[in-house]
Amino acid sequence: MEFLSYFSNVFTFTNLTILLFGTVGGLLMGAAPGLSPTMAVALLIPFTFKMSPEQGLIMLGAVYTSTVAGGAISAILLKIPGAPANIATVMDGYPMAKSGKPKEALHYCFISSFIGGVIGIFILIFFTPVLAGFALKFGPSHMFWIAIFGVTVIATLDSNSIIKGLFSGAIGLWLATIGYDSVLGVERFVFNPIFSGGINIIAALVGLFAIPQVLSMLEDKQNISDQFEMEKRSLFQSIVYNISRIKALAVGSISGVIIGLIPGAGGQIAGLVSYDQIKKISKNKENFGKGEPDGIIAAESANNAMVGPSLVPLLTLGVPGSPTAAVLLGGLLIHGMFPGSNLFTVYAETTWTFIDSLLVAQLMMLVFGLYISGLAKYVIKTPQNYMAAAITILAIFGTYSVQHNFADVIVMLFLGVSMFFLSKFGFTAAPIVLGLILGPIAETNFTQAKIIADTQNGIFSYLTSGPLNLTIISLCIISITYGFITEMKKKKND
Amino acid sequence: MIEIKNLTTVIITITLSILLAFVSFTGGASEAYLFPKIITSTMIILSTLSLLFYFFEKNQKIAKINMIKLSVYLILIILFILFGEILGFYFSATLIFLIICYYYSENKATKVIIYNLLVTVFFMLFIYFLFSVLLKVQVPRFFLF
Repeated sequence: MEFLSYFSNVFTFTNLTILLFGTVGGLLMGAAPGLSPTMAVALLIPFTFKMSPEQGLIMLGAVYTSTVAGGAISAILLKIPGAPANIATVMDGYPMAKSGKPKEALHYCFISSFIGGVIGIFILIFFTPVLAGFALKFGPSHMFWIAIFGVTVIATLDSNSIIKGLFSGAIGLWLATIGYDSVLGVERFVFNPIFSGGINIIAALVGLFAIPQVLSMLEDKQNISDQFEMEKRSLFQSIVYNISRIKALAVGSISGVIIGLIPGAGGQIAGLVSYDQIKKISKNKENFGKGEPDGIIAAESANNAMVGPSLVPLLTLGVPGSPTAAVLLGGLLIHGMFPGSNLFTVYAETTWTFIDSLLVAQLMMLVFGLYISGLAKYVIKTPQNYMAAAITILAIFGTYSVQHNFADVIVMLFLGVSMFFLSKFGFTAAPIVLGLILGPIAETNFTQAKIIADTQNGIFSYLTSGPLNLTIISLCIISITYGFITEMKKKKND
Repeated sequence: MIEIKNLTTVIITITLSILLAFVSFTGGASEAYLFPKIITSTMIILSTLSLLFYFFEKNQKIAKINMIKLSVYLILIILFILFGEILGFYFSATLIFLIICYYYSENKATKVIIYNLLVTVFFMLFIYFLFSVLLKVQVPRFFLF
């Protein structure tokens, strides 16, 4: 029950203010179509650089939690999911709003998000220290394979083509080698002085996630239709009904927790799997797609229940459970905090305060989410050209503010525009980002492993011997095989 | 409008992997180049696989890029990279914001232009307050701003 002893840290004026801004801002950003949780967290990382690690993580955690829930607002009111995690919410949320019950649909969305979210965070609280203790047994070879596993998993799950996903991951790993080698101190691939310090993670995060989104907004502008008028609906009535739908809540929360724990999966998969499951076991199958509350409850409890568990592999092994968690890893690293047991010993206060703040953020998300829906319609209606201009300027100033270096801005814009074109070729940003973040971990451990292996039977034997190495290698193979099978099935269905 | 076919993607993948492999293998003999060499070798294997899969692919997907629509934004980005530091961040950012709002707006009536101007001024004031006042970031400036 160590988490309870740091609870009071959350309730300081500064931390509560940060939580409030993070939650409300996250809900509004999530509501805006095109602003995904990953992009929102990436855009905010430069601001957290000026904060203490504790405050920075509280802000990022609150935004992560609330953008996922906020995305349901536009899913229900506009039929446009605010984030990929809300795709399943559209299926019954929009028909329910169309049938004159938009407020009721929003009530179910936030209440089930809260319930799912709290369950997910308790999983994070109880699983993380156990796994972090286990991670202490890891040597250089294991850490090398864990980093490769992280890239493999994101590459297979966040991409339509496994080869393109793996190729993107490899691009990220290669980009991470630019600059000085951390073990041998050799300068590599510095074709221009702007690359002498390597690729700045924040510049890469902002560029890869924000600029392609801006270009997509300008390329295909979406016409925002008129809003629904909110009906009169008692919140108490919604809470009672929501709690009575135990089956939908259980299916959503359990699916969310399991999918969150699988590295690389994410809210989109959690929402869709739980929707599919509840539809299969429901007595009212024919009502799904026509405004069935269970559809919203299962999908929303799942995508928020995924948030906490997605941080378990991240905080213990450095393997993110979702693309947004991958960006959050960048937030940890810029404060000099590396995933593993150190987070629960050296940085215990910061880590537990962050985890505790996620619980408070869930409560704030519930309270403000229910009342913010009215305000969110103004954000939803913001013309895409204003949104694109604002994101561009925020990306430029935010990137510059980290190191006061114009080169970072150039790198950010270059990577962003390149990513937009790469996305047209079927490549995705998440594997590149993860390759860039996990690249130094993979390379440092590989070099250390090689130094040790040179005194033994050679690097190949060192990297492939021992049950732990073989287990992680098997997981890499399973994830690639799973990706291939899924891709083949998808192509067959097309 | 630029059309991207599957073959273009394969060619880009192969070219990129060969280019990065060339740079990695000719970089030097130091052990520091071992890891990049392994990565680029993997990239060559993956791009070769993508070429093989291309021949078995039945559904040819075509992606499109509306370059005419995006050209103004891309030119603004290039101009900012070239002159942003000289012209100052606030000055160039104001121009970028204003041009994006105007060019990508469907309605170009005088009323909308005035509205765009007001939005730009308020947004830039917000940026100034956030970065210069609150975060105390010293950005490159041009004359007064």
